[in-house]
Amino acid sequence: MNSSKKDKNLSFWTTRRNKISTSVGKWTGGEDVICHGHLMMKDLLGNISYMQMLVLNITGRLVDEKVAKWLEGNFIGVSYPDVRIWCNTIGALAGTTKTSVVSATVAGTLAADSRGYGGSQTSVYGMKFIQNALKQKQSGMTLEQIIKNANYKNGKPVITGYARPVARNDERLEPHQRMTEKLGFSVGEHLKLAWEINDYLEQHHDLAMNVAGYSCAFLSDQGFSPQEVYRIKSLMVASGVTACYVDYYERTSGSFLPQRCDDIEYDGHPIRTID
Amino acid sequence: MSNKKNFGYAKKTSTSILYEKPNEDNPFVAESVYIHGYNLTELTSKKSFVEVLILLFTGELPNANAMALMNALMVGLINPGPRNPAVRAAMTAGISKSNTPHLLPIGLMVLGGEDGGATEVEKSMSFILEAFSNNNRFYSSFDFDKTDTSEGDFKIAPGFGSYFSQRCPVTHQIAEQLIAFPETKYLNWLHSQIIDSENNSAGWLPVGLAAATFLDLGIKPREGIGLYQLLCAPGIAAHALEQTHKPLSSMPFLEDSQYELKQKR
Repeated sequence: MNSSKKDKNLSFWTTRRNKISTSVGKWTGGEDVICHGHLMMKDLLGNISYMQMLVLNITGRLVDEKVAKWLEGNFIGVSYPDVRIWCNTIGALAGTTKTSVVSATVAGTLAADSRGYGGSQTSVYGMKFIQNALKQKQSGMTLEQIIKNANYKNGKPVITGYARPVARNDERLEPHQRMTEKLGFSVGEHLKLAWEINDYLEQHHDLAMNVAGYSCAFLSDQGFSPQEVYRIKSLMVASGVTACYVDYYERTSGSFLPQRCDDIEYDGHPIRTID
Repeated sequence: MSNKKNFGYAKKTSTSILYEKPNEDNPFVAESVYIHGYNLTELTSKKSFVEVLILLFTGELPNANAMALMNALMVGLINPGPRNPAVRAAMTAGISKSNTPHLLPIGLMVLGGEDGGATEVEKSMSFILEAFSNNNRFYSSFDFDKTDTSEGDFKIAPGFGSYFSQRCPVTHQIAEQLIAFPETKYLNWLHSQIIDSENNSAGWLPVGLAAATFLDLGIKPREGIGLYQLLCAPGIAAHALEQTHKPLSSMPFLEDSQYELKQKR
C-alpha cells in the first residue's frame, strides 16, 4: 500500500509466470515420459514394480526390488477390510449413501491421515523418534535417558510405535519379521535399537513395540526420511476402505449401523427458548 | 479375544451441540431438533443463518454486534478468487470434468494447508492469544525486520506477511472495516501494531484476519480451521461450477516450450 512500484521486487513472480521449471518429470506427447531421469515407457514399464514406481515418483530414487516388495507387504498389513476401523467406517458410510468409489476411498484415506492411527502420519512421529534415539544413543545416552525424554501420560511414555489402541499383541509384527528375513534383510542399527527399546518398555512400562515401531525402524535402516515415508504411505489404507465401501454400496441405503435418536448421548444445554 | 485390553471405548457417541427428541412410536425419527437447547423451528423463524452459525460454533446466540462482525467477515472471505490455490484446484477439477460433487471437497482440501490455508488460521489464533497475553512482548513476537521477497513471500507471524511482495490491499480494506465494529480487541490491537510498523511489505493476510475476528467472536483455534473452510466455500464452489459448463480447452495447458525439464543433479 505504502511501498512504491520501484520498491517492489516482483522478479520472483514474473520469472515463474506461465513457466514450469522442474527436475521431477515431463510428458512429451507421442514419445515418452521422463520420471526423475528415467524413461517411463522405454525403461520402467514392464521392468519395475508399481511400488518401485511409487517410491521413485515420491523420493526420486529407484529403490531395490526387495525394498519395494517389503513396502508392498507393509501396505497389505494395513488393508484390513474391517468396517469398525475408523477409515473403513467412512468407506461404508460413503457406500450407504452411494457416493462415488473415489470419493469414498479418498474420504477414508483422508481420515487415516491421523496422528492416532493409519500408518502414514504416524510414521513421521515414529521415524523421528527412532532416528533421534539412535543419534542420542550414539552420543552416549542410555536407554533410560532416551525414554525419559519422551512425553508421558498416566505415568507411561507416549512413543509412536510402542502401544496399540485396540489390542496388546500386534498380529502384524511377526509376519513383518518373517518378511524381512525372507527377503534377506539383516537387522540394521535402527531396528536393533527398536528391539532394545521394546525390551526396556516391556520391563518398565508394560508397553510393547507394534508394527509401526518396527516398520519405522526398518525403513530408517533403508535410508528413508520421516517425510518420505509419510508420502509413500499416504494411500496405504485405501484398499480396506474401498472393500468396506463396496460391501455397503451393494446394500440398501442407510443400512450401515442405523442409529436411533437415543443412540446419540446429548450432554449439552437444556432445552430453552429465544428471549 | 483373550488378549484384548479394555481401553474404555464409550457405548454411545456424545454431543453437546444437537439434541433429537425421538418420536414415541419410531425412535429412529426425531420429533423435534434442538441446537444448543433451541428448537430448530424457533431458530428458523427468528434467527438468521449467521446467528445460528455462531450458535453452532460457540454454544450461544450472538449479540447484534457479533452477528454484524461475522456477517462482514463472511462477505469478506466469501470468494478467495480464481487465482487462490484452493479455488484454482476446484476450477481445474471443474474444467477437467471431475464429478461435480467432488469440486468443493477438492478446493477445501487444498484450502486446508499450513501456508495460507485453514491450518494457518489455527496457528495464527494460537499465536495471537499468546502474543496478546503478553502485550509488551508483542513486537518481539512479530519478526517485523523481514522484508526480503526475492525468494517469494514471507511471514512475520502466522497469518501476517507479504502478499506478492507487498501488503494485501483488499485484506487491509476489509480489516479497516472490521476494526470499526465494537468489541473487537484482537482486531484493533493487531491492526495498530501493523499500521505502526515501518515494514510496509507485511500486513494482514486473509487467514490472519479470520483468526483475529474468530477470537473476537469467542471461537476456539481448532474450530477456526473448519469455520475458515466453511466461509471460503461459496467462492470455491461457484468458480468450480462455472468451469464445468465450459469445454476442457478453455483453460490454458502450457506448451512444451513453457515447460523446462532440468537435469537431475
